[in-house]
Amino acid sequence: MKKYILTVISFLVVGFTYAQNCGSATFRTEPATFTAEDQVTLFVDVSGCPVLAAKPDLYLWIFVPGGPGPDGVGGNGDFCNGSNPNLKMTPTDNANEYSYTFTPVALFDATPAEIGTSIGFIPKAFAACKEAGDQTSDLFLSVEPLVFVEKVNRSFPNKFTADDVVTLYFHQPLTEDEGMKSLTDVYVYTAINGTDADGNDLGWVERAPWDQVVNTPELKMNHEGNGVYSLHLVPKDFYPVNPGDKITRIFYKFRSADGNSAIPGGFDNFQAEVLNLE
Amino acid sequence: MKIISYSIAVILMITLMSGCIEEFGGVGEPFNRTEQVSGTWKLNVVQQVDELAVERNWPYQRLNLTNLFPYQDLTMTLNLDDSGNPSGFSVNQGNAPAIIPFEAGQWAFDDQEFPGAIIFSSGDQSTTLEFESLNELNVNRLVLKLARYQTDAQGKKKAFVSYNYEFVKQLN
Repeated sequence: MKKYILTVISFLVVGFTYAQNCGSATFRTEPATFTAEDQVTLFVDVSGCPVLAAKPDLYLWIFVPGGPGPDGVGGNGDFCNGSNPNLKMTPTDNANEYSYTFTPVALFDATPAEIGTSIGFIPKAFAACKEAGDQTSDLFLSVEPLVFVEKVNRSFPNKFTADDVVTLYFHQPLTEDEGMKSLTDVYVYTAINGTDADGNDLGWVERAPWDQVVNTPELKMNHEGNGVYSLHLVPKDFYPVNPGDKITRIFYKFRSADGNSAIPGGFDNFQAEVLNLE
Repeated sequence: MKIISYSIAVILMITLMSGCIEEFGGVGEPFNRTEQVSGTWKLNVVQQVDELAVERNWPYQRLNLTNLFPYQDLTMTLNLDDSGNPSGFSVNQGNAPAIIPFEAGQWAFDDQEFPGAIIFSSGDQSTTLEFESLNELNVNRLVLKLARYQTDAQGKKKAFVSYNYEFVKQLN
């Protein structure tokens, strides 16, 4: 019950965060795909974030989910009282667009294995927390992995679009959670985010609410044997989105039927990018 | 004596060669790929390939999707016009996931003389499915590949996922 309450609270926090932050920043990288050892330039357009667009300078708050911060440049600084000047973004020739160039292994002073497959960031005012919209919600970049590491979760294929068949795997022998180790019926709570045809943030779009997962047969995983569970889906058909919506990320959490057991923690390591090809 | 020997050798060679031609026949008419590809095809096998895993020699490279979704519901008809050229196509998807993002349109080869792919189009949309093997057409099987590409850090276009679709011709 305690876990259930905590999980519900965490979803409420996600919803509250969306309400307070500007979720309409758009971003891209050059090159579009990169490894932890490649130099990459991040471009952020804050046209949809009037408070940030009005600031004289924009700063990057950057982190590896569950891993290091930008130790290679002396850390992020203080979120509410002042960012590290080394993370000041550069205005480009386009209105409301800023860029920041970095090489992940150098920026984080970490190995590719420590950086993993995801980098989180928040474009923000120098000293945020002063008014609604002076920061974005957490945004994420995908990092091309250089080595294969067997983990408790895996998606197949490694890269996919909303039109592809995607399989989510739960490798039960690798979980350290006692409740999840002994489960025979495994379910998935899953949601996506993205933008609608007009570029507006879709927010948190669930396949089914947490308390309805057990009543949604499509969310029950198949046991393939040897403690490997799978769920097959085509994102554009599986989630309640409209034609023209762009799904940008899938989030998921393995759990028991009653929800009392679930993979602990948030979605930092249980998410996958959905590619939108031009 | 030498002249007689050479003459016998030449006569023997000519006899053997003409024997071969009579026994095995000539190369015959080239296959008419347009005609072979036209008709109604039923999807029989679907394989998904994680091209990134293949490139990096990682585990988990392929997944047989045939029985995970009702792919075998899907049939596709490729029509010819009155002159025997590629014309319209239609897909009866049933409950199968879409393999072409539109259900009807026009089809054509990328190269009419040496086809390497079929291009399906509808309005300003198009999807290209490459031939995995043209020889399979001789036994009424159509094996096509759909690949999705992305440009890497070095500017190279690389497939990150692909599908192999094996169709069986529906004979009247």
